[in-house]
Amino acid sequence: MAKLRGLSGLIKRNMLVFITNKGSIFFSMLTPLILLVLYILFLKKTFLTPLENATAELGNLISSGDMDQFVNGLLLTGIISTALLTIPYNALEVMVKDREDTTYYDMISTPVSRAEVIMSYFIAAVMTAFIQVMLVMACGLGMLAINGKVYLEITDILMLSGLVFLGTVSSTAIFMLLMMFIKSMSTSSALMGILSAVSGFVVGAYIPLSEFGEKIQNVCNLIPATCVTILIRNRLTGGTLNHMNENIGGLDNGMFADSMKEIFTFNSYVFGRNWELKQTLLYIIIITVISVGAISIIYPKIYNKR
Amino acid sequence: MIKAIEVNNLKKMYGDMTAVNKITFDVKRGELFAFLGENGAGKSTTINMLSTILTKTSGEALIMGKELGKEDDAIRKEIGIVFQNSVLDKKLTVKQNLLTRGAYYGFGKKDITERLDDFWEEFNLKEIWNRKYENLSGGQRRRVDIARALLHKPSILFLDEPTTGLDPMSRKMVWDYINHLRKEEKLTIFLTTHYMEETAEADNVVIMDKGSIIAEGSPAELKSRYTAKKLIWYTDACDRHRQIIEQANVSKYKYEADHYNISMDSGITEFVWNNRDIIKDFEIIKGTMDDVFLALTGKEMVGANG
Repeated sequence: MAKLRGLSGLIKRNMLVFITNKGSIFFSMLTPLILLVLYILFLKKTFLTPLENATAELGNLISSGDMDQFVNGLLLTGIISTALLTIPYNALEVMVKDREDTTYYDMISTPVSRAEVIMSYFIAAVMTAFIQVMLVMACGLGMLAINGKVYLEITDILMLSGLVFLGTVSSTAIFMLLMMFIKSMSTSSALMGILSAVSGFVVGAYIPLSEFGEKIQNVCNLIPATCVTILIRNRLTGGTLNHMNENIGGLDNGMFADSMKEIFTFNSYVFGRNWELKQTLLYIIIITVISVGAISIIYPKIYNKR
Repeated sequence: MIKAIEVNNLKKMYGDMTAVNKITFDVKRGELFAFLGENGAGKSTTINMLSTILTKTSGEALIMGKELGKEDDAIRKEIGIVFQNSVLDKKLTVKQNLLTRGAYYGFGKKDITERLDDFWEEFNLKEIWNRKYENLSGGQRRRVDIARALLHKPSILFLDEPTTGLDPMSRKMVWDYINHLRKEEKLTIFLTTHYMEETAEADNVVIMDKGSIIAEGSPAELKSRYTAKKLIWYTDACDRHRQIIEQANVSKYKYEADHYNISMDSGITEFVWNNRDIIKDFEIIKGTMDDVFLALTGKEMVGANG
């Protein structure tokens, strides 16, 4: 019980430090907010154009409302995916700041172990990021529901929640592996700047990944965050796409749905072949487990001061 | 008397650089032990080793009979530390800070509030309980730092330059708490400081320079060993007076404004008595800890008397 209290005290402290810093919360949401603004300004049109081109010969079989909801779903996927990168990163900055200020001396001079200290940073970042991204997703789904019909079952919502959790754990593990080596907040902030700029492109939030060359696509599709995005995209917009496909009634032999899936990357495309969704899921889990394993090997070298 | 801390040939090296060089000393239970030295002398490194934050390179240390490096968990329950730079979270309230820190020791909210009852009034915690740490004055912050270090009823309190940067009033307040803890709670206090006058209250003083102990003893012993008494003789400067001084056992003298400042290794009382016809207005001043440090290292302490 006492041991558990130590760990829960650490987790609570780390979460409080993050959520009481309004600046951190704001910057963690900056990329998703920028994405939303860009969408309102011009991105929506960019996404709608291939859709309208593909449906030009199908007459009125596909309603503009469905197309709108599909594109809105793509935007929400992008917002969730970028949030899954920037929020865990910002939450983990508590660890970097503690190291810079030697605040963690206060922890390691108490009966809590160094393993519990590092575990507390991980769990706190996962919990705060998960709650924050779930709130973002809930708001997004609410907006979709207000805007039109949403083709999502309860199981889809549960699966999306599961994917958000997996994405949070995966991003936190990978970032933690990197951030354990960062000693100053200035370095961390510089990396955050790069992450904010790059994340939207990497997950295909600004431009569909299919627009990039094959080499870049290969690299992007190997990034776990992109893989999570693909799974979320399937769950979040798959229902609308199926509904549109059903409305076409097989007149195009499924070509519309297939081309949408290809354009908006519904499957990981790595070295000339498409991965099944299960393979993508397995890949994310493997990378996450490897990252957690690497953290547990590396942390004693950093936190057991020599 | 049973020893609270026994240190034998303790050494700390960073690569080729020796931070602490085979130091040996004891601290008795219930004593106020002062560690004196300039910045970089090795004081904080020693505290960090004794509090299990840093690993020792060689040597042995027993903290309340527990062996450093082998019984670190047990040692951590016996010690409380007030760090040089506060390690509490600025954005959190005093309540949040103390409750989360108490959990590190396995205490629940009830245990912590019961413990805080012991110094609730003494530390005036009520008025600042729900205030953010960053909004407290320097003195109030130090009060909370000390309360945090005492949450788990440690046997030894390490105070690493607890009054650095505080105004004179806050310094006095902090010292009132320290004296209270020492006299009422019978706590062993291990203090590092570079304020000379703060060592006057100590039972024992160790002076460090460049990682090594250069002197050790009670303030009175150190003063009598390393400093000469001074006779301040208020009179006019004249050849006759100079002649009298030069004939006596005087190590050095000089005339300043309206008095002679005369340093004598011994025989000061006899000198005054023998010349009582002409010495009408005088005072005898014992050497200060500043003089001790100056005599030992040939340099004045930075921040002395400050």
